[in-house]
Amino acid sequence: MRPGRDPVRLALLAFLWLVVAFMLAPIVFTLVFAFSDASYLIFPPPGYSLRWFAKLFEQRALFAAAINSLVVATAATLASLVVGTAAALGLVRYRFFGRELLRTLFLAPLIVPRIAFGVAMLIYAVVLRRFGGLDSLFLAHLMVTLPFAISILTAALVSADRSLEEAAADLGAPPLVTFWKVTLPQIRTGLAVSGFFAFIVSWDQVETSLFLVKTDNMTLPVAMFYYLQRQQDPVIAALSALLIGVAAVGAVIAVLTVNPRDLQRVLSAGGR
Amino acid sequence: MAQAAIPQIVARRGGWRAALRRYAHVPLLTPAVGLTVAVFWVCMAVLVVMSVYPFLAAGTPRLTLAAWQRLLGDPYYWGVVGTTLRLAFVVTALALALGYPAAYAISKIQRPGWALAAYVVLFAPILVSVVVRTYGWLLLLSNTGVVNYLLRAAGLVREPIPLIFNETGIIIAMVHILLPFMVFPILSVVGQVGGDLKEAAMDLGANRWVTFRRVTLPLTAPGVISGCQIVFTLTISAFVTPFLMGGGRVQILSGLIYRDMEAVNLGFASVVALVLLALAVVILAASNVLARRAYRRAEVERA
Amino acid sequence: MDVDVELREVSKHFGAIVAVDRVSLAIRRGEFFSLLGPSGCGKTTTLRMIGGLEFPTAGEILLRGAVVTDLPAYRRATNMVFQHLALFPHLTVFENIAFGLRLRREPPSVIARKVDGVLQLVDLPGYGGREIHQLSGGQKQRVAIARALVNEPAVLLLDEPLGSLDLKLRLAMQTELKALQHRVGTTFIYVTHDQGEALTMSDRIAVMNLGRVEQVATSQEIYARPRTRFVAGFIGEANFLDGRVAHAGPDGVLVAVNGLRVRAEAAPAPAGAAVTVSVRPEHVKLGVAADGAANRWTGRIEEVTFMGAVVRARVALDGGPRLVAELHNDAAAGLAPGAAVAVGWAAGHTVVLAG
Ligand SMILES: Nc1ncnc2c1ncn2[C@@H]1O[C@H](COP(=O)(O)OP(=O)(O)O)[C@@H](O)[C@H]1O
Ligand SMILES: [Mg+2]
Repeated sequence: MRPGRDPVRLALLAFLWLVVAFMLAPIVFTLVFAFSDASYLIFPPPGYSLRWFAKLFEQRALFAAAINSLVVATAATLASLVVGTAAALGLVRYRFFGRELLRTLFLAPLIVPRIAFGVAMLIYAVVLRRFGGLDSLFLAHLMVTLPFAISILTAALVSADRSLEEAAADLGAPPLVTFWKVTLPQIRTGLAVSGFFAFIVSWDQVETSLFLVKTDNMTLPVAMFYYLQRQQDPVIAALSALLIGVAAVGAVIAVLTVNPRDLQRVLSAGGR
Repeated sequence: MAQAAIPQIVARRGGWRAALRRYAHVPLLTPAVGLTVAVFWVCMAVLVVMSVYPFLAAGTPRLTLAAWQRLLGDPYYWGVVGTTLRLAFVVTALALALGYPAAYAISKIQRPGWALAAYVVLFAPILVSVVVRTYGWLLLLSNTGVVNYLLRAAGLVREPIPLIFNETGIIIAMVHILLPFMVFPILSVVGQVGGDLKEAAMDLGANRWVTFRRVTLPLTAPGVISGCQIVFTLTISAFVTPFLMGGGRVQILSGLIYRDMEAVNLGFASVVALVLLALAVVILAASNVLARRAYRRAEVERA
Repeated sequence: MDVDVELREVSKHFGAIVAVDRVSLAIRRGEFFSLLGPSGCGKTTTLRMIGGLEFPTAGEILLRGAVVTDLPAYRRATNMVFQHLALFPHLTVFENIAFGLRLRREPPSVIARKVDGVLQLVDLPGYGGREIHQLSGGQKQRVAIARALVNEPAVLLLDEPLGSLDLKLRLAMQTELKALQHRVGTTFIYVTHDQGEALTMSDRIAVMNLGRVEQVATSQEIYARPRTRFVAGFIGEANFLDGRVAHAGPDGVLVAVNGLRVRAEAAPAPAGAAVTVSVRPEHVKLGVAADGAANRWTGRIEEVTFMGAVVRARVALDGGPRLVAELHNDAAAGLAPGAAVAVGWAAGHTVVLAG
């Protein structure tokens, strides 16, 4: 039977495109509503306009929240990469007592429900009198992004060629130089993937942030969450449209720079 | 040479360089250990302490099991646990029902361009905030939203059917949000099921369904199990989507935590958080046992 | 004579595994020195300890008289050609070779000159701009050697560098490598499990087994006068006969093997000691060729195998033991299974091994 005519195959592919439509539907219609003329939720929109974008730009609080999110996500990403790379090196390149225990210690935060961790973080922040600051937010996000960076970078280092590092040392490179000139170029993809996901996870973090932010000092997803609880005008649709645009650019960058196989590995490992 | 002259091997002391080498991993691991212990593990300890010794509450704190007793003794809370688990089961089952054929179909696409497109569409929504995607579903499923409009326009219903502020809405949106985490683990194993094995099975006279059941399914079981693990644990701990889609009318554990945090009832929130954590750990441990068995079977088949 | 590398009772344990067991060696300046032995005998580990990539559990290592036992690789004047080459895939040929020079902060003009010079030396002029993946196996090999040699190390360490090449290229590279060593005059320590390779290229060979050095000698000596049964069996082929020294004196040695008395020139043990007699198949003569040999018996041919230039015959001596003889095929005319034949060899070809 020619594969093209195979009915089972055709049915499968048709099903796949339905799933694709399902995945795209909320995103596409969010874009439609962003340009709606109505101040309430109605489909089809009575007319189209840009007024919700105009209103969006008047929202100082959302803008400040976006800046906060950007700062925290950038800091959490950089810290995960630096601390994660060092830890992964320690786990992969050395043999010592308690190595497996350490690995468990590092990866355990992945299992803990985010909202449970959020509760714990709030109590801790209150005890330390750091409630409401970006620093406690940063630490909370770091606990979520670090395990992930460690697991991706560990895999990257395991598949990096150890003998290249030995060759560099043999040619006279001290450990730091070896790391910079030989190890780093080999784990570039791992760094890109873990950095990318660390940023996304921190940027989109609601549950761990929810209790840690003060109402006048929020992160963007938390601010959007509260906005949605108060009113449902298309300002959020306009903001969503902008974020979808940014995500689309991110997706293009990801597809162009990251090997799909690596991406797949991360997602299958529950990178979330 | 006399035998007696052979010296016993005694490890050299080796000096400071050897000592340095022996502890080279310490500076590398210290930042991660320090942070994880000082933030995460202390947090967990604080949570446990708070659940039996609510030290931030008004009045003099004292050791009490009151919060635990309140949760475990009230059938309402057992109902909430039940709802949480039921939703997770349904979401996982639906995600599997959509995700498995989808992953299988992607592996069957012959043109790499189309395969990549399908891939990107399934992956890209992860880049869009959960809040945004949930909002998208509110727009689609509300009484004046897209789906009800289409149903009415097609003459299928007269009155809008309620799709949000109930479990239906939660389930639909959760399946959408977690579907990538089902598809990708499966995709990473279907790709490995070689045509050889299938052809061998077909050669041996197995028909398609038998081939699928006897060859493909056992070989992809590890992917299915890890996809289900991820989706299940993420569903029981999800907050934003169930909260917004449920509109306060469906209570699950995460919503309970939120309610008690708003009411500054930290002791009870801690207890609920610990129950949620325990559920996640128990489910993961149980499914790991299953997963290990499936892996072993897959190894045997592949060999 | 100057000693470049010295190992004093060096051992390396990996947990319960003893990879290298009390090895002592003195390697001379300008020497082509081989570590030869079966896979897993500890050659690589020994080489890596000399290069500073592994550190001894016990013992000392000296480089040009200085103790370097605990010095890391980047502080030693050794360079290594790795078994799988370990060329940096993200750098060009030029940058690979310049890697060590850049670390020593040589000025760019010097680096360019040295890299060009060494590319010339390994017969790859003008290849500097190539990417590593554009090179053939033999070319990669040369780049790896150039990358090490350009640093003018006191000692060049080579770990089975020709292992991944096909036979023809390997033979060509053997000659080339030996010529190269002759030209630059650097001490080479060469690890291989291929006895032919070691015999062709080396000034001296250390034969290793189970982490120990069994014998250190020139190629000729290792072949002609193996000191242990392992060495005799590993290098070339040998017939082994177990016996006991019956007489040892300035006039020669007699070893009793079953009913036979085997003549030899020297023995490592006094009369009465249990020994093993070894004789190479190509030294065993058959028929008229055996006339007048110090050791001469009669036997019966059991099997004849034609192998091209040579013929191998298995002979059962009348006293019981079996021997393999290897003859030129023109000397093999008339040999047939079942035929009675004279068997013999010179006393000088008998090697008596202790134990
Ligand atoms: N890093 C290591 N860890 C544990 N065992 C090792 C290690 N390196 C080598 N060995 C063991 O030491 C012995 C000698 O190995 P090696 O020096 O590589 O032998 P060769 O190069 O002669 O084949 C082998 O039994 C090998 O398995
Ligand atoms: Mg080796």
